[in-house]
Amino acid sequence: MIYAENILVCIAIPLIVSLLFIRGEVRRYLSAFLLGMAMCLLSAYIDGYLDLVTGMGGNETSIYLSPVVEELMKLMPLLLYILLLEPGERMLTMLAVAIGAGFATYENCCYILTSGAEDLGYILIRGLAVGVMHIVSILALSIWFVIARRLKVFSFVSVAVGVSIAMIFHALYNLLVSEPGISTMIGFAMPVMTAFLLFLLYRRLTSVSDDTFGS
Amino acid sequence: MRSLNDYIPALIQLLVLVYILIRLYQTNVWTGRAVSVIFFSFAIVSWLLSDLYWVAYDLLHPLTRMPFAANEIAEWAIFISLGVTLAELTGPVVAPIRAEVIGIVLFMTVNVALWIAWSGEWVQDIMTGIALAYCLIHLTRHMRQTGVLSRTCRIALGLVCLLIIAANAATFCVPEKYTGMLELTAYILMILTELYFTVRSVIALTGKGDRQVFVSLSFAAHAWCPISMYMSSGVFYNIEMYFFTFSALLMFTAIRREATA
Repeated sequence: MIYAENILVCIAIPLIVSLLFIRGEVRRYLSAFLLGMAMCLLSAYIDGYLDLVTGMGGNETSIYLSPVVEELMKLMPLLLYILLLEPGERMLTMLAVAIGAGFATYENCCYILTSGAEDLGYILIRGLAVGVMHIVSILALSIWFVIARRLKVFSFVSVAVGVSIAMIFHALYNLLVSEPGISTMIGFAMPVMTAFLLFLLYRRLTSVSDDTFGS
Repeated sequence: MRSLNDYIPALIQLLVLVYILIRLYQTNVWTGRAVSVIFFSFAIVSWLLSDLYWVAYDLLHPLTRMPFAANEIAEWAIFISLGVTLAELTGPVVAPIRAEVIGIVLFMTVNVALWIAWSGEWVQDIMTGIALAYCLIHLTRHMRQTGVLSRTCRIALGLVCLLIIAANAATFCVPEKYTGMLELTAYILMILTELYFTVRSVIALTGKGDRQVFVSLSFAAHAWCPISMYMSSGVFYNIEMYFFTFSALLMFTAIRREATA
């Protein structure tokens, strides 16, 4: 048992104080980072509720249901930001990365407090895998939103399709790392490989689209 | 414990999907058909992830039922993405399809009722039904626009759907000795219909006809697969799985032709 709210308060207070002394993009990044951490806590509450309602058990809830909840919770602030403030493309991807990073950081903090941090090798691998996974899933979503806005197809359907892909990607990761052995190794490698593929795809899309859109 | 043979249809499907994704990566998506190509790519990515999830789960927890089938979310994404792909290809609609939409809604409602009776998963089955109906409505709109099915064919298809539903529904209320015969009737009807769309797609592929007709037929061949698969088991499920894989290649060829035209 850990006191998740207390941990969030402890980590967030110095960051909130620092918001008073910074301006511009850094301030927005840090705000989104804090929001990401808050979303992680809210996801944990919802997971706990679903655990009680469905009776699946904590372990099964975190493997099978939490990907759906977590991806939806990460989407919420990003979607609100797009709909209310219509940010530029660069700002949108930057904030998506910040939300993902905040979410992953807080999740890692709670994991370390629950399971210990004796094995540096394992902590490094887990930190890298979870960190990259949360960032990759929301970054891919934000890139899709950028493309959808360019093509003027940003709608409920395009958001639903994007978030569904993020959910199944996350669910596959959770499933693979839930069992020890080779599947865990594949699971930990999956976010890094996806990040590389995403980088290749993004470079290709932008290089071709710059010619087409002239942007 | 499952044998390797049980995984062969899924593994072939995975290889085909990876091949399609590589070819899509090589396609210039920023054509006049950008939206269709991108949504089609999404459908393929979702399908690949769904298959990977299913294979991974089955290897890690053989012969146990998923507590929550997360891959069904990917299936909803597939149907919605294919629906948007078709909507973009159809353009402004001329022919009204009110009667067909009513038919699809009724057909899917009965399908969902049967799925719930078999699996007991209310929420997931209803969501799958809505997503598949969305795809079927856009497919019907596209088919009407291209005039690919004559009035007689449409009536025949409606009758086949009715017979399949009736045969499956009857299995719940007839004595057990008749259920095998009813199921077999449904399987034969489903496979013949699948065969009809697939053969017509291949003819459209090899001929020099309208590209949009090929799109209609290949997507129809594909859309029929999940309807049949969700009502099949054993060897019939595997046959439909092979059709499903083949129809993915047909759809990809149709989309690629549209994108590069």
